[in-house]
Amino acid sequence: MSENDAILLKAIAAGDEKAMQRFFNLYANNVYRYVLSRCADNTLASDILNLVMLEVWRQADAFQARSKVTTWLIGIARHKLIDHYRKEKRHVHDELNEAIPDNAPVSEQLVTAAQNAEWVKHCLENIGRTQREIIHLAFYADMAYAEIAEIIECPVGTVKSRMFHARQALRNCLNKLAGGEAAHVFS
Amino acid sequence: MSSVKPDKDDLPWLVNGSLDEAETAAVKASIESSTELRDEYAFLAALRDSVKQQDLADVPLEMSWQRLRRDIRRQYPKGVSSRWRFAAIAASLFLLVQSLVIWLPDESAEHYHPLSSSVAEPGLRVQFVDDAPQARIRQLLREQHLRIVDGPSAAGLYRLVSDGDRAQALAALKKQTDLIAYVQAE
Repeated sequence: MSENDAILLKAIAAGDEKAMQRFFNLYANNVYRYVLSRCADNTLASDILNLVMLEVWRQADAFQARSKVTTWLIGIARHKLIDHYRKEKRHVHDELNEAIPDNAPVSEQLVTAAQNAEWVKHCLENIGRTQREIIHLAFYADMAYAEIAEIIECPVGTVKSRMFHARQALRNCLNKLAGGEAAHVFS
Repeated sequence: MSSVKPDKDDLPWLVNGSLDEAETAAVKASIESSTELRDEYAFLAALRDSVKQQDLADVPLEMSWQRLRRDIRRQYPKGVSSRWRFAAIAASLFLLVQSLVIWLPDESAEHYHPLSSSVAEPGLRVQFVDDAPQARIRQLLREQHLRIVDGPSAAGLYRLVSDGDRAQALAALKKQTDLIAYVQAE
């Protein structure tokens, strides 16, 4: 935890609204984008962000400095999202749609496909929520595997395994697009 | 991890730069000796660049903050955490006890009179909202014939005394929720 974060959290614990606003401005987008990566629903993402920040206001003095603030916030967001889906009585357990391993070497065509942001966006929208989450945390938020393990409350081995399946799913999707499906999908 | 042979599973974290020095060195050494890992690294690096380009919406900061602030004030209407509220109550009690001690009838002092009557003058305890404009505070105090005589305390409380109708001033302050986070008559 940075010194600035420690000062802000101490002030928030003492009821300082200005400190809360500064903290909000610093971290709101991290939380919001994480939730969006899981639910693609702006309204729900705003609601979850609000719940997360209310939790910060209430629990600022309970923050364990052994984690990064972002890890703590995204962990709370994840729980709030799961609670939300539980209340909605929606399917909440992680998908088991493990992608079929593709043992073929990475082709130049695949690397070119991965450079196409529009194709990658399409593929991210079409892989499982759990796989999208791990890609977001590792490649958008640039988190270490230990931090991701803390957030999703799994052993590091599970994080790596989920990343493996996410990569495979993206690879399969991008290979299909590069193989000619793109003309149909983006027509 | 450096004692474990690095493999494809470590590449995403080399790509995002989150491995420690020893891990980075080990994985980089593996890449140098393996075309397969090098190609996989190129694929993941391209993937990460494209993920970074995703146009994930920004949260509407101001609107979201206003909503959060409203909810905070609803749950904590005095704008202070329970710990500070407790501290403020404790401080108020201390002041009350101190005042009682000062004003307890003391026969030995019955011929003496305080030079100022301000100690006995009942006032108002007020906390302004953080971003309350000073000009509006001044205007409100003028209109209600109020003066700041003490503060801010550690909890951000000011003590005001009224040169007019204290009850009317209290009622007026209670209505100014955009300026006053907390007000109480002494």
